[in-house]
Amino acid sequence: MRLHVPVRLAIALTLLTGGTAAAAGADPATGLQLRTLSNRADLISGGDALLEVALPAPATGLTVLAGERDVTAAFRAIDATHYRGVVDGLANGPNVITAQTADGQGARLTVVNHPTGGPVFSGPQIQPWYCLPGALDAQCNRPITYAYQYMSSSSGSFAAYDPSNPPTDVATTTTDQGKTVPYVVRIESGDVDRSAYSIAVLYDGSQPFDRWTGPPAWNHKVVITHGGGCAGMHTEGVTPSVLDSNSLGRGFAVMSTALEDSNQDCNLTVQAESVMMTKEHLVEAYGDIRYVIGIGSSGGSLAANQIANAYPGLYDGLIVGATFPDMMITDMLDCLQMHRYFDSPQKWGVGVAWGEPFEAAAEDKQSTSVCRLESLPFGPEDYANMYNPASAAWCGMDSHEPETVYNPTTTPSGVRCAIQDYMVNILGTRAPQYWGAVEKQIKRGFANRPYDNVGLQYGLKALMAGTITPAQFVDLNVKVGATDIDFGSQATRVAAEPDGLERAYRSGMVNEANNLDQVPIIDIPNPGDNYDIHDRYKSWAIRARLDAANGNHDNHVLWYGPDRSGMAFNNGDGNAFVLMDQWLTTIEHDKRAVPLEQKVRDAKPAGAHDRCDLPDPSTCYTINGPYGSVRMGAGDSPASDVMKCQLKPLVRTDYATVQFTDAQWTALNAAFPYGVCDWSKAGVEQKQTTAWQTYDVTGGRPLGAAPVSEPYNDPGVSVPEVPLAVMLPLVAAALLFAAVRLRASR
Amino acid sequence: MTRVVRLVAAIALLLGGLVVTPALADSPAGTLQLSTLSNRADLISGGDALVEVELPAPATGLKVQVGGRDVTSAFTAKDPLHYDGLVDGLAAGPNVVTAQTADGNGARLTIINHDIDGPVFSGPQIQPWYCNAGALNAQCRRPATYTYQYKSSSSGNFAAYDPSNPPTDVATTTTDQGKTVPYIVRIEKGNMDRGPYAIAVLLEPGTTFSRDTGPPAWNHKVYEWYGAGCSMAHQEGVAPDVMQDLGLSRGFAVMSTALSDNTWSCNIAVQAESIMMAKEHLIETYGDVRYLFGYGCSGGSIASLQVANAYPGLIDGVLVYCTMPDVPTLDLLDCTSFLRYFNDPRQWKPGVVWTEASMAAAMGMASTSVCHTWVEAYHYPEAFNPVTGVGCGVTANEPAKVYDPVTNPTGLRCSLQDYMSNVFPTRPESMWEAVERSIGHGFAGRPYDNVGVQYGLRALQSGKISAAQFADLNAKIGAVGIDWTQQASRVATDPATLAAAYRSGFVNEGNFLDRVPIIDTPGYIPGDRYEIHDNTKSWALRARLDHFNGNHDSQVLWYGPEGRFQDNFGTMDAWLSNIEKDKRDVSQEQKVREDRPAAATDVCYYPDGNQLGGCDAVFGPAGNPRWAAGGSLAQDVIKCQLKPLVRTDYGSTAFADAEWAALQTAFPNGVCDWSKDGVSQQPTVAWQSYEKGPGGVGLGDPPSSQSTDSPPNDVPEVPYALLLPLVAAGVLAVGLRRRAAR
Repeated sequence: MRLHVPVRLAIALTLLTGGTAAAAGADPATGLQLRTLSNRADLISGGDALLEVALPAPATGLTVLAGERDVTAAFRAIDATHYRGVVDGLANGPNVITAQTADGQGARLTVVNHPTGGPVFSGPQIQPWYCLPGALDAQCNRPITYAYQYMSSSSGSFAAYDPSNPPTDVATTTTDQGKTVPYVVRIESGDVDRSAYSIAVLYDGSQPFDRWTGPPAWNHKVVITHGGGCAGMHTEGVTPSVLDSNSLGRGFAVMSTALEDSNQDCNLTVQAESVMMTKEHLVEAYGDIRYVIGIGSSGGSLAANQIANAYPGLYDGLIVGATFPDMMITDMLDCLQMHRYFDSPQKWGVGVAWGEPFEAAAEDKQSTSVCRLESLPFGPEDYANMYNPASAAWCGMDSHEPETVYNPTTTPSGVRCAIQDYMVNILGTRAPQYWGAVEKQIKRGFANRPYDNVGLQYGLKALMAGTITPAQFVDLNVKVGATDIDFGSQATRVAAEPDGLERAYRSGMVNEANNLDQVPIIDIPNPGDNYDIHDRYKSWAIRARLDAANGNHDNHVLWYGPDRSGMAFNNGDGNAFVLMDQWLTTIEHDKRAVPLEQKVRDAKPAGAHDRCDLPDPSTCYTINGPYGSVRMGAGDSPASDVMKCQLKPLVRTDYATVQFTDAQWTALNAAFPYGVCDWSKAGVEQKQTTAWQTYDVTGGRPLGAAPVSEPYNDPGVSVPEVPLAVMLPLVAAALLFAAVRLRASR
Repeated sequence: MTRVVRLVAAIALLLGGLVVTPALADSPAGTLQLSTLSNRADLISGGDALVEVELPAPATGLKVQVGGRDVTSAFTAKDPLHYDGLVDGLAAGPNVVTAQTADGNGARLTIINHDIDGPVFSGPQIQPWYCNAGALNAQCRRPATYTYQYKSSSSGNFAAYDPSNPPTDVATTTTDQGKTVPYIVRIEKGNMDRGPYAIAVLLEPGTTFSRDTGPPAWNHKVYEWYGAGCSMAHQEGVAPDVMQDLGLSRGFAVMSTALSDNTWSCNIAVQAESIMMAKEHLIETYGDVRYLFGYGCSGGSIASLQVANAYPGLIDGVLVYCTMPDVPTLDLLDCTSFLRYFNDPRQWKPGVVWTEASMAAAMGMASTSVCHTWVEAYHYPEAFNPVTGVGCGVTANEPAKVYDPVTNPTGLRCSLQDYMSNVFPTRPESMWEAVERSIGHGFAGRPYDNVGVQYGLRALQSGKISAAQFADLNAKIGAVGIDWTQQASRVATDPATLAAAYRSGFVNEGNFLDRVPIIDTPGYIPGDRYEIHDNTKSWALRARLDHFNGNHDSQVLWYGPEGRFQDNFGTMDAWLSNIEKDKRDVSQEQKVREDRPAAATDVCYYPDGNQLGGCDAVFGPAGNPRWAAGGSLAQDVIKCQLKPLVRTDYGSTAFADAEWAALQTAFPNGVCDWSKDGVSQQPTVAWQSYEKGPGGVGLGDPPSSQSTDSPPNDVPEVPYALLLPLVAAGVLAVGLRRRAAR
């Protein structure tokens, strides 16, 4: 049944008058509820949203309005009390959605719609931004395209599929729902948030589908793939491959976005935003999602880990390898600075010599190869270079406008290509009291950099263990200095700005894992590696942070030892993918009213236990431990999440049997004028991640709980019993009011 | 040359032909010599050559012809016995040049001219080849362009110089010849051999010069600059930056070519060819070269050292750091194999545990970081991966053409040996694997072999690894197969490939480097023993010099953390200047040895070095994988000769029976006998040409002229009555040539 025009006008009037007529006797818990299902109502993008009307009891005469537009036709009954519909044509900004049944029960919900080109919550978008050829506008919007691939039964690999001329060697696949179908995959490509997304799913194009049917062979589960690395490109990118035969063949949809590929965009908030926007589109266009598994290695692991923690709900489970908890790896600059000293023997004091075992011990690494790979002065994996504001290649400016990139002498106001500048939406800029000469010259601050090494006693653990000498320890700590804001060396230690530190923690850039207990994680550190940048302490650091934040790490399964990604995907024993699927299905079926983290704990399958698969398991610890971060070598805990330590006085008797000469002690006092790290205390500004922050203000603020609908119950305006004689003046008043508001808003 | 000068010269020569004096014509018939000065006569390119006529005694009436065409007018007298001339218009292929004086003395020399697009001696050019935008043909030909840069006295940097709007802050420089001039540099850029070259020299806009005068501030020395890396680019590339203040400010010309830049072309023959062609052009255009030395790091050190050795005479001196004497094939593939085993402890036998110290000892290196940086940071071992190569231009431009063992077995292989298929022969049928059998031909041979190599033998002997570790490593390390896959057994290479590797100089045995002063400041990181530029490679070259030349007097090592910051440029310049002045009739290698400046001596540069227990203990060579396997530090045995595996050869090491059985399985044909030379090991053959196919043949000595002495009346006396028409004809000819040149 449709509402009559006057009634709609009456509802409009109600809205215009601020709802004072509403809510008489409505109970939010038991009344009619209106909600968005494809995303939070305040984060909708692209002009459409999947909405649900939940009735307290079966009722007739449902009417749904978007603003004043009747969108009831978009809705269908799911059961006697639930109606769902995709409402499109939403304007940018707030859109009031109203639902009402014939009995006068109603609710309204404000849906805030954002442009497809973003941003939604990530704050001002980084500039400049370069689109690939063919974009429709400066936000890199472009029409959606579809392509097909099939699994060839002859070659065993994917090849292009032409629906108008189908090949004859199409393999079949049987999904985990038992459907046997031709192994043909459709790949949807388009752009959201200024860059590319892709969605692949079993579908041969022969019969159309909509979100209510879904692609017939889709199992309504989703895998998100990620890229490796960590860069800050100012360019529209391409997506990590979605042609993952392991998941597609089982019926999973596979999705990815260029902006969650850390090698293009290492910015946590933009990563999360692009995943959210694409997931919303997938729900609206393909159908409901049972759960999402994020799979990522190296830079992909850091994206999955940090997004799942800072924006809980986007992922339901994680399989990570070559693991990083986040991109704030203090080793990057600690390693760089130590090797600037180790690799310049002309800096070494008289009688001080270094070499592999001493350097590795001071770094708390099994081998110096870890730090060398992180900080080699040139070469393709020169990751410390992400702190170099002049690194045009790291930010993708080299192939566009390299002359506009920052240079302290020639281009002081140029685009700074350091990681902190790429994340200025989170970190904000340095307050005037921290400005250096260039900032004073250009009269604005660079981005805050949450790195600090004041009071850090490099190599303390090795000193106490007797593996380096007091002379080595003193010379290192006196001369190591710090990497300055322009990637040069400074003789003194460097202090982080408090604002940047606080924001790094609150945003989740430092992943404190406090929301990570809501996702099962199977973590497969790199094989054989305490020898490159994927050294395993990082997985143990996640575990330590989970313990610190949540009192347990029951959601974290560590398969260490040499298993490579094969364990994640192969059939049979050790198949992390199947195990994760099983874990998430169990959670899905758990309808208890208990917190998600408890369901995660309780649903753990039998095979989801720590393992180290070696012919001789007794060697696991020898091979895998006990090495850590450079900061652990300076006394930090295995969590290794203190960006700036609190200080305690430098006391000569704190070093047990280590004997410093007077000259050495004087030198140490000069290196540590404010004292040394007190690791018994939390770090300065250290705090847990605040979930779902928005960056419409500098430093971000929490979005808080997702908006809920406001119910009302007004039998007086129900169905057409209002005399026209009463209605007309009301209508006139409403129109007048609307006109006045319209003028006022100009 | 201006028209007037040419005209006068033409007339003078024509007249000269008429005033031969009987006295000279009657003089004893010495031998007139005809030679090319800009390059070997059989390797000339671009249609022109600098030709010298050397007379046995002063004579008149010199007449030079090329294939019947009179080119006498191109010649000018340097002294009474020497005439030089730039002969152009040479046809492709052989050009017979004859010179004769009025006395009947004469000589004939065949100049073989090659297309400016190449090849000259490097054999069939690799295909496909990708030109940058704007090339005139598929060989990437493009006209020479000239631009100017200047040193700014305000910024201290180079900047573009606009002759129509000259800047006001031009610095001055005083050359090593004492000339003080505005610091303005002209950069010539063009293409030859399918790749760019660049030549920079001090020159003010508006100043003209000929090869006889040369650019006025040029000191007639050349400084060459090399790029790093090792790529199989299949493309035109970019010449390394010639704006090198160190050379330019002193008056040097600075030259570079893209194809001698390892970043683009890691092929020794093509590298040498491009240097040779650019140097010929420089001599023909700018003037005589006193000497040429270069500076290269990493891949740049590979290019300069291997070209200087295999094509002696091209490069007179070598400055290197981050030193590698050649492509370190054995490091690259041994490191890959080590890490495939060490990185996967599942393969380790129960009870066998490897740590940093034991792995490094087995590798023979100061740290495993050397191998880790090779394999995991720089990825250069992938030069031997046929699907990727390193910087393979085909992968970037036409990926569908690239080899894949399953989907495209006949596709283009991007591996280094295939990129060097001009040098390396294809594998004999006896070595073919499945893919080769299916496509019916062999892949290019790869100069790598590890049959019989006992990895970690020295570490076993010194107790740094256990018998169990040694046996497990050698039983399981296997090898990197020809398709980059892991194979359980060791891998062998074939004799023809081995011979090609040695003869070509791909393995740089240094046997011609005794003619070339080398100042080597090893390491990229000063004092480096920890990444791919570990300084051991400098000592490897030294061991090869000792082996083949009996001494290493041509090589000076300035190592330790401060070695690189000493005055290597000035010392090299002094060394070469001493050699230039040394007119004794002794060998070049003796001059190199005896003309060393005092500073050219080995030093470990580190203050207070003794307090470290000796500078060498911290900064000396650490070792390499084949040294660790019992071989020499030279690491130039690709394939060792074998001796039986004998249980009593291991001193006090006691192998368990199972360990011994594993070793017997790993070494079915025995183990390396390092007391013998490697299989097919031999010195580099100088000046190899690959025109007739892979493997190459030495060109031997440059062609010399043949005497054609004949009676003096061979040149007939011309009556004066005929002179005027001849002069007129000469003038006409000059005029026609000028028109044709437009």
